[in-house]
Amino acid sequence: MVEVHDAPPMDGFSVPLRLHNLLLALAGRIDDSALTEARELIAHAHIDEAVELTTGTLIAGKITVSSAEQRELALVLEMSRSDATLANDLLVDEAELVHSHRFSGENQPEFGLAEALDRTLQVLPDVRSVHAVWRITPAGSVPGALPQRVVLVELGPEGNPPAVAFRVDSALRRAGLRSVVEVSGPGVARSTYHQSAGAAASPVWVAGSTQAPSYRPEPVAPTPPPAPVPAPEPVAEAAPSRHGIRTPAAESAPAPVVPIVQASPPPQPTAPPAVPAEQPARKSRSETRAERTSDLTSAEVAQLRRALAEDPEKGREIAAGKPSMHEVVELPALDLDDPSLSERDRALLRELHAELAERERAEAAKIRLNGASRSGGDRWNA
Amino acid sequence: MDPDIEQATHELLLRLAGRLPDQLLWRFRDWLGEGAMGTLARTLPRSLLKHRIDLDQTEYRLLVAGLIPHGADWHQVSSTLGVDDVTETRYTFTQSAPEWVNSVDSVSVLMHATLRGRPDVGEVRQSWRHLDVVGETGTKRVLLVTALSGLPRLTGELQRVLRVLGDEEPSVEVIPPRFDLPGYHRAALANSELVCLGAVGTGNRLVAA
Repeated sequence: MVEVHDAPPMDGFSVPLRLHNLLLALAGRIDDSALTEARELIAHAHIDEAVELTTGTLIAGKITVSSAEQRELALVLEMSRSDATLANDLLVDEAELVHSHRFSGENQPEFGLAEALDRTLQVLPDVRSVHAVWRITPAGSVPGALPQRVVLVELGPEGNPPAVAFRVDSALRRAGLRSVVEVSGPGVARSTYHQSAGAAASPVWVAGSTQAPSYRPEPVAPTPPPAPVPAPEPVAEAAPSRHGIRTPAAESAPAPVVPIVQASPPPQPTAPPAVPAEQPARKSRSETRAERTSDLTSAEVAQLRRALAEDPEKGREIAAGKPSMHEVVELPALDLDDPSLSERDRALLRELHAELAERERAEAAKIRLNGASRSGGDRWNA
Repeated sequence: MDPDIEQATHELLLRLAGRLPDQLLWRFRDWLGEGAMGTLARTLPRSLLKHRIDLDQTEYRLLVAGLIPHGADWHQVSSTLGVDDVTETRYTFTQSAPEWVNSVDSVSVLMHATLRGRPDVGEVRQSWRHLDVVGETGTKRVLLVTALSGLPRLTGELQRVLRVLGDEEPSVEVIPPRFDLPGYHRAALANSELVCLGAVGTGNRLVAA
């Protein structure tokens, strides 16, 4: 979950940004009108009214918050010279409730957005990407009409999230596109809500940037505690990207905005190295093999040692990336102190790992290059 | 909750129709319906001051009776009492729906389905409110309901229904019996159409049939 749950470093953020981040954490838990109004109030420097609206909505709706969220609300109330005791009426429950929402990318949630946001996105600084999705489940105690369009905006460090949220929302309202606008800047982890929304979202457009938009589910859990599921799984879920079957939406987006073109999803912010969701299967397999190098069981290591002892040529093949395509090849950890290895085995293992490391470096360099060319260079920041 | 306190706050929020911005008014009414009196006490007086909404003496007494017991700031509350007459509403009302309302008006249909013959509910009417001049911009539905009890909760319930049907800032005026109607409500009722009657409908007619 986001930020405030794990006593996180909100101290470096300004009061408006702290409240903005709180609102991101509350997305899907309070109604969209409250979110939108509070963001507009923040943008207009009415922090007190924004935090009172937020706190009051939580209290009246009997919506639970964590004690960290309660503290944060109390702090923002106090810092905005509101009545901090209002936070005492909040319903606190440490059990992290799962507010599961369903999102859909069907029926063109991005339709008309590029046109409506044309001018706005030319003017506002450092907007990195805009995605759109339908939320088909109600939010908060006084939900609005469904489906609700959720617009996900990713900012770079120069952007001001509350200001962008308000401006983008205003532009969409003017165009008659009812939406709730979620704007995230750097340094804030994505909540489950935003990850789920991002997984089904359609791109409206992205600005030229080498930085990967991170609305896709992250393959590595962003915050402790670690997820029980194996880390790489979300990538597999995100792999059948909608982008390939969707008509590109940003026909008229002018420079410096680079419209998203078909089949060019944002690269995954994986570590290390990033692999775009639509990399060919063979590349995925080679990375899997590399990742699993250190995960071999002792039985597998023993098996490999036997193979090496029987056929040194096979080991060279493995290192050169030309294994028999029907075999799943596993590489052992580099344990040169294993007394059961002969000098010849050790030499082979060293060679193998050296070659593998070289291949990884080459692979990473290639992917970085691909990422840069895909996003059209860093024109926006130039 | 003390019914007198609840009633006082409900009447105050009724009287603020057309004066406090819709997006605040429906929210305060929702909070009242949920019994969040402490929240209202800490936020409503400040909102009135920020939006420069003066209260007349009757309204001021309602504010004091409703929110001081729940911890409203006395200085803020006392600053709301105005001296000049309350300015008249800038809205006009018409009985007929604007053209953009579908030929099947789902709100009316739903109100009819849920409120017809309902205990404690009197008459259900609707009017269309326009900003300054009759036109499509700024036109919105105002629902006028008479009821004998549970007014704040009924208001909250109807607001939630209207929101789900697409009215983000619903205007639901649930009017108690023997209520001295403000100009806003008199004008709305004078240009309203009947939607349905609750169980006590005939005894609580707002306007001549």
